[in-house]
Formats: sequence, structure tokens, C-alpha cells
Amino acid sequence: MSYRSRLLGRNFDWILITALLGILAMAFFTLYSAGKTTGGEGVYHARQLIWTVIGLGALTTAVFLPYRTLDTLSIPLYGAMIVLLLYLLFAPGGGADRWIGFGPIALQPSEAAKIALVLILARVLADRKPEMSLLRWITVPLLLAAVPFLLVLKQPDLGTALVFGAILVPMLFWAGLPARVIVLAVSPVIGMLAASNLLTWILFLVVLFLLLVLSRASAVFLLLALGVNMLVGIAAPVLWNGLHDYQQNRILTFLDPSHDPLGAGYQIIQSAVAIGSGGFWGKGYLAGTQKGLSFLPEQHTDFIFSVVGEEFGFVGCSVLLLLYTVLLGRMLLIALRAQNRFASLMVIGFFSYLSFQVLINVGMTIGLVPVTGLPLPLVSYGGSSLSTTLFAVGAVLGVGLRRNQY
Amino acid sequence: MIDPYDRDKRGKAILLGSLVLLGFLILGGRLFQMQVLVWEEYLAQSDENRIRPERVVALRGQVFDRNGSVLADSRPTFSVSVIPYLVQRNDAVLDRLVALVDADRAVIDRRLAEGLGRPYEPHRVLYDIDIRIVSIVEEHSAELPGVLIESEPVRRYPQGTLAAHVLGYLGKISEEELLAARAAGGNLTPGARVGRTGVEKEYESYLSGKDGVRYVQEDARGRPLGTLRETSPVPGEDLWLTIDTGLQAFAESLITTYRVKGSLVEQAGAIVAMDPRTGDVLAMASCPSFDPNLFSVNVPVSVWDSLSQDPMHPLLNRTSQAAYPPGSTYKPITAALGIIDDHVRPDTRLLPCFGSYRLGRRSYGCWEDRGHGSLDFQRSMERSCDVYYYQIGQEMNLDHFAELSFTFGFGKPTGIDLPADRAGLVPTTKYMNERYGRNGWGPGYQLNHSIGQGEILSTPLQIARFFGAIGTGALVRPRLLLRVIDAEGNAKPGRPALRQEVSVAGRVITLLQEAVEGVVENERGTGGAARVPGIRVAGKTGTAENPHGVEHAWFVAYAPAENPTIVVACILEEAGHGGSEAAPIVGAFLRRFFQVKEGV
Repeated sequence: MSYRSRLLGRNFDWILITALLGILAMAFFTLYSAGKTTGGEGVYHARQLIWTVIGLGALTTAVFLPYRTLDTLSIPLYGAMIVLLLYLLFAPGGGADRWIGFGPIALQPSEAAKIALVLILARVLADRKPEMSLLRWITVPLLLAAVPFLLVLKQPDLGTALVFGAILVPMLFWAGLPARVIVLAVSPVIGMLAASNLLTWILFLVVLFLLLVLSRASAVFLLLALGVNMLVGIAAPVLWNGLHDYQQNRILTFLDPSHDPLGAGYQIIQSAVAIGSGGFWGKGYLAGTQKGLSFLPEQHTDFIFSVVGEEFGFVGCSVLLLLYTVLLGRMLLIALRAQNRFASLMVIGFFSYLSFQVLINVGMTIGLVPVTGLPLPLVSYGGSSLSTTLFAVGAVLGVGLRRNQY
Repeated sequence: MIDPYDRDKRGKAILLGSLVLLGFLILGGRLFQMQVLVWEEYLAQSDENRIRPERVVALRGQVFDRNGSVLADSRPTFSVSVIPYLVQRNDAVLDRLVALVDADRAVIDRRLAEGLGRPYEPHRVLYDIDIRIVSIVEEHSAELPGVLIESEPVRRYPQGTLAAHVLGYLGKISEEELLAARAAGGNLTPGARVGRTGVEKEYESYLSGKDGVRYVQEDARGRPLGTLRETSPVPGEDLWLTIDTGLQAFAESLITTYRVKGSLVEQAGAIVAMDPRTGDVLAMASCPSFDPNLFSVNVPVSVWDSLSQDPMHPLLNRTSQAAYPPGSTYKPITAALGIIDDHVRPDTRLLPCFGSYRLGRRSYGCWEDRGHGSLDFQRSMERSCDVYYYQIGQEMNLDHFAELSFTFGFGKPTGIDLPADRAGLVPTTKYMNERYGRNGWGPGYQLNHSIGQGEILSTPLQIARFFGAIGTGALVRPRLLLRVIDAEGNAKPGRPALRQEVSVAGRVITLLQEAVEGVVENERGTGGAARVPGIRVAGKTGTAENPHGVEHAWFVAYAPAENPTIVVACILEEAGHGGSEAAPIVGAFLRRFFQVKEGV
């Protein structure tokens, strides 16, 4: 073995790869099971296998792409995504369609838009001059994220729009935006939602306090932030009573699915019943009855985690979440070790994108988060999502390989 | 103020990592609570109380003729369904069912096997059962877990075979169609029946309506506990067709049994009648026919095979799905080209006909062996003299001929609102070169084309439309859908009537009109059998050569000649001469249409 390839082997993140393959294997078996009722046998898992092969090709390509190529590619890629998103909005047939058909394949441009946003933000944030004022520095990335955010929101696809936000904020933080500024900017929105229940509101204030302390905010700043949030929390019930009944209803169903058990809440209840009834060991592979009775909505896409929960139980869920934790932890380590600023930022972007989607999707299936329509990365059926995610993982592995390169 | 990028990267990583980890711990905690602490509650919910969304089939829209006579409606039926995974676990259930209702176990097992791919959805095993069996099964429902009675409307065609080819029939949705429909957001159930041909297929989207959903609470044995909520189905919309039931029935009786050489023989044929001003199809009959009621429930394989493999092709709509050589009915095209090219004028007498025409070393016969002698333009059409048209054909440019054919609607679908509307064939130079090679065809082919033989193929509907265009100067798009009545009873317009002036000089049209009127009205015209007392009729005979046997007899006519309100085209396969076989049938139809008593 040559020195070069030995170095490659040593720097290659085998732990990350193992976690990745573990997730993909669980995905395959779960998709096979999910397909047992909806599509006749062998439709989803077989197609997903093809997509996995294509995705691993994308991963390998991404590993060997030099930073400079990714850096240069970011501008045309971002431009192309904006054009595609605009096309989706204004194409004949209305804006309800999130897909673009290319012959037999339908692609979801919002998936690739996530990658494009990470790359362009990494490029812009890496290229920072010390003399810039905070306002000037923050304007360009905010605009870059706002354009796809608004276009996707208009589709309407709130979930994906939020992913753009979840990519932007940690990248800004990594690039040097002080945590207290972020906390202050984000907290009132969360505080508003948390104020619906006294317990969650107190919990929110405690977390906020801890975060502010951790980010070494000054005493004045700390008091200011807490004060503003207290005010928002107190004002929320007053605003709430000013809303119309139907507006209140909509928000209530958003927060509590059993409020409308046959409408929007049906999915969440059935999903929770599936996961809960799985118990510690699960009902056994291919033996899920909720799944089998087609009670689970979208059980091969957005609600695939419910099938895991029902058939593999708490053990299976824990294993899957542990694999994600390992994958994400290794990504964070790669970001920390990377010497190149663009590369490091890019890894943080992908890290945030994956973390957010996993948390939101799983949270949705167990009723912690409203239904948003975000897939579970690497597991949900869908070629666009799988291949873009694998591309991102490949780019991260590539950064790990060349971590000493400036 | 911005923090320097590299300062405290480690701290930032720890903060980000802890936040995500916190999220995962919350998920884990919730999962622990759900799956370890209170999982039995969820298990009870999943085992004992199931809310199953069940589809409520929408009533299919009715089909009426233009006067409100019912052509298709639905009748209620019941079927026995089983939930495969429940009865599979308990074999005694099916034994009990068979014993109770006296059914054939083999049939049930075979149908059950079809449903195993969807083990949790009810699958029908006994169709269209007696109300007595319904009550037996319901009485013993406690002994029959997983067996249920489903009620379902079944398509009915109260007038039997009448207008069968126009209406079409239904068929069970295939697995691929079901997947495709579900992927597109449709809510079809396995076993649903959808239009396979005819209006049933063409207007499936109007007719099918929208199924409703009923949320049924069930226990673990699949027994319904009650309905929680129901969104009602939206019934399909009613269609009013341009068909006139009286004329349709008369047209069918004319072609179903007609006399060939004096004996009553069942033959194949077709007749179509249309209003040349609007394109309204008043009658459209094809023979032999079939009973679409057979397809409303599951068709026994033997019945399907005998229909689909019958050499007479009873399922084929010969008016629009079959293309024949048009024969002499095509001569007006050749005539028009001769006049446009100034090759013939009304008084032009070409070489006289002695029963055949020589070109090179080959002789091309006229249908009249004895010959027609010397004829002018008008007489050549009246007597349908082939030799006259050979001489025009010899001089004509094939592509001009094709161009004029396209102008009169040949070589492309008519646009009627029926599936599989055939285009027929109009040969062009390009086509001939591809088919026979650049030097593989010569002027002899031109002669055949000039009398509507050779490569040319057209459907009876195209021929009818062509003569409508001669009579009115405008080509219409045939249509069947007059109007749609939605579930609330509001009328919506049907298929728009399309009408386009033919881009041929009025002088040419007038000459053609005079010529085809002479075919029927002049003493020695070939179409005298189609005369209607008191009404001037214009038409043309055709006798199309058939390589497999006796010639096909054609006749097409419009009337009244001065202001046509109807055009009729008729073909009788292997019947012989158009003038002697097909013209009397069209004549009978016209006399009925104009309500002139027979034998006057």
C-alpha cells in the first residue's frame, strides 16, 4: 500500500461510514415492510435500492471534488435553484406542485436547493473581511437565505422553508455571529408558541436563561432578553383571545392533534398508536398491524419512522437514533478539525440540515412537532432526498480526508 | 461587532452538539414514555379499536339520449367481501360461509387468492348476491369474523344492446391502473369498475363522480362497531348524448339483418347518421354487436373469450374504429382535383369507356364490363365510370390529391368524442416511397387511388363527414356529448360544435353537389334506390374491392340536397354492389328520418 493510500485510509472516517451504512440498511428493510401493503410487493424498496446506488455514486463524486470546485459551483448552482423554484411557482398548473418531471423521473428542486444554499452561504461567510460592520456582514447571507425561503413558503411548504432557516442560523453562529444576538432574534417566536401552556413556557424561560449564561452574555443583555420574552409570554394569551374561533382552531390542531381526530390529527394519532403499540421489542418485522391495515398515512415517506417504531419497538428506535447521533457527531468533529474555512462552514451547514430534519421528522411521528411534511433523511422513500443527502455526506467525508488542507 | 472566526471553535461545537443532543434526548424520552411506560394503552388502541377509513362508492352518472331516454343507469347490488388476513388465520370461517350460503368453495378460494396482495382491505368473493343471502350472512355475522356485506351500485344498460358501441362498457380496474390512480391522488378501490371503451371511457371523469370516505370503528376481528364520520360521495354527472334512440334502433334493425342475394344472412356492417350542420351524431350502429350489461359484473372468462376472439369482432365499432377502402365514394375528391387542375370541365368528355382502360401493358377494368361509352363530367359521377376517373388519376399529382383528401378530413382522426378514433390512410409520395421504394410504384397505383382503392383507407364516419362537407361547404367535428347535468341539476354545455369552411372554391363545391345529386335523382344514376319522395337526395355508391372475398358495399347520402340536415354513410362488408345493397338501406333510413311512408 502506498503512503498516499494509507494516509487516505487513516483519514477516512470509517465510523461515519459505518453509521451511514447502518442507517441505509435499516431503511431498506423498513421500506420493504412498508411496501407490503400499499404498493404490492417490492415497489418502494427496490426503487430505493436503485436510488441508493445512484446516491452512493453522488457520495463518491462529492468525496473527491476539491473545495475550489464546490466553492465555484456554488454560484451557478444557487442560481439554477432559484430559477427552478420560480418555475415551480409560475409554471402552468399552479403552485401546489413541488415536483418537476423529467421524463419518467420527478425531481424535487427544494431538496437540491438545500445543498445549494449551504454551499453559497459557506462561500459568502468564509470570505469575510475583518473591517466589515455586523450589519453589512449579515445582510448578504440573510438575503441569500430569504429568497429560497420565501419561494418555498409560497409553494406552500413550510417545513422546507424552516430547513433553510435551520441551515442559516448555525452557519452564522459558526462564522462568528455572537450567540446572544441569535438568541435574542429567535427567542420571541419560540416564546410565543411556548406561552400556550404554563409548563412549556417556564421550561422555555429556563432554557433561554441557561443559553444566555452559556453564551456569556452580559448581565444587562441577559435581563433585557429575559424581559422581552416575559412580555411576549404575557401578551400572547391576550392576543389569543383576540383571534377568531376558526383561527384558534387551526392553531390548536397544529399544537394538539387529538383536537381534530379525523382531520389533520388522524395521521398523528395513528402514527403515535403505531409507535406506542410497538412497545419495547416491537411487534416483529413485517408484523405491524397499524402499518398492515394501512392506518398509517404516507408510511413509506414522511411516516416511515412509525413503521420502525411499530415493528422494531423502543430498541429499534434507539438504535436508529443512536446511528444518527454517531453520524452527526462525527460530522461535527470533521467541521471542528477542518482547517479550511469554507470546508468547515459547509460541514456545519450539512450538519444543521440533517439534524433539523431528523429532529423534526421523528418529533412529528411521535406528536411532539406539528406535521410539516419533511422526510426522514436517508430513510424515507424518495430519490431526490436520498441522493442529495448522500451527496452532502460525501462532501463531508471529503473534508475529513483533506482536513489539513488550507 | 463580530467574533473572530477561529476563536473558541471548540466551545461553539460543544454548544451546537449539545443542542442537537438535547433534541435527541427529548425524542428518546418521549419514545421511552410511549413505548415502555404506557405502551399497553397504545397496544389496546391498536388492537381493540380501529378506525378504518372506508370508501363509499359514488353513484355513476346516467346516460340519456337527446330526448331523455335512458341509455345507462345503475342498480343496487350486494356482494360478500372478506378481509383476507382475518379469514386466512381462521379457515373454519370460509367453511362456515360456504355451508351457510351454498357457494362454490373453489370460486371463493380463487377470488380470495387475487386479494392476498392487499390482505387488510375487503375483497369481494361473491358478486351480485340475492337479498336472501344478505340476510343469512348478516344474521350469522358473529360466526363469520372478517366476512362482510358490501353494497355497490352496478351499471345497467336498460335497452340491452342498443347503441352498445357508442356507450362502451366497464371493466375492473387493473392493479397498474389502481397504483397509477392512487399515485395521482385518486381514491379508487380495488375492484372498482372504470370505462373501457365508448362514452363510458371517454367521459369517465364526468361519470365516475367522487367517492366518499366513511370512518368505521372496528374491533380486532374486523367487525364494524359504528360509523364515526362520513364525507358523502359526490355522484357522477349525467350525460345527454346527441343519439336519437328511435333512429338508432331503426339503423340497427336495418343492418343487423339485411338481405343478401335474397336470403337472410347475418353480416358485418355499419351505419352512421349525423347532422352535417353541427356534427351531432344521431345514430351510430355497428354489426355484429354485444350486450354491455355482460361487463357490468365480473365477466366469465368464457364469455369474454367468445367476444374478444370472435372472428366477426363484435366489440369493434366499425363506424370509427375500422378503416376500409372507400371505393367510388372517394370519386368526388378525384373529380374536384380534376376541376381544380383544369384537367376536366363540366362539358369535358374524356376517352370513351369500353369496359376497361389500358395503361402500358396492363388493362384496368371499369365495374361496368359493357362500358359506358362517352360521358361528360356529370354523367361520369352518376354512372360512377371508373375509366373517366382513371384518366384524371393518370394526370394528377399524388401530393395534391393527398392535400385535397386532408382538406376533406381524411387521413386524420375525425375528433369524435370516442376512444380509438382511427385516422385511416391517405398515401403521399413520401409514404409510397417508404412503402414500395422510390422506383417500386408507378402510374398504375395512381389509377387505383383515383377510384378510392389502392392504399386509401377511411372510416364510415370520415365518409359521412366528407359528404356533409360537400353538402354544406363546411367540415364539422362529429360529436356525441350534447350536454352534462351535474349533481345539483345544473346543465353544462357538452362538446362544442366545431365547423370549418372547406378551403375549396365554391364553384368546385357546387359542381360536386350537382354531380352527387344526379347519382340519386337522375334516371340512370347508380343510387336511385335511396330516393325519398318529395325530398332531393344527393349521394354516392361505392363498391370496394376486398382481397378476401366479395366486395364491400358502400353508400353515403345527404338530404335535402339544397339544405342538408342529415348525412348517412353505410358499409356492408362482403355484400356486393353499393347501389344494389347499401343504397336501399340508406334510402330506408332517410325515408324514416323524413317520416315518409314506405312503399309510396
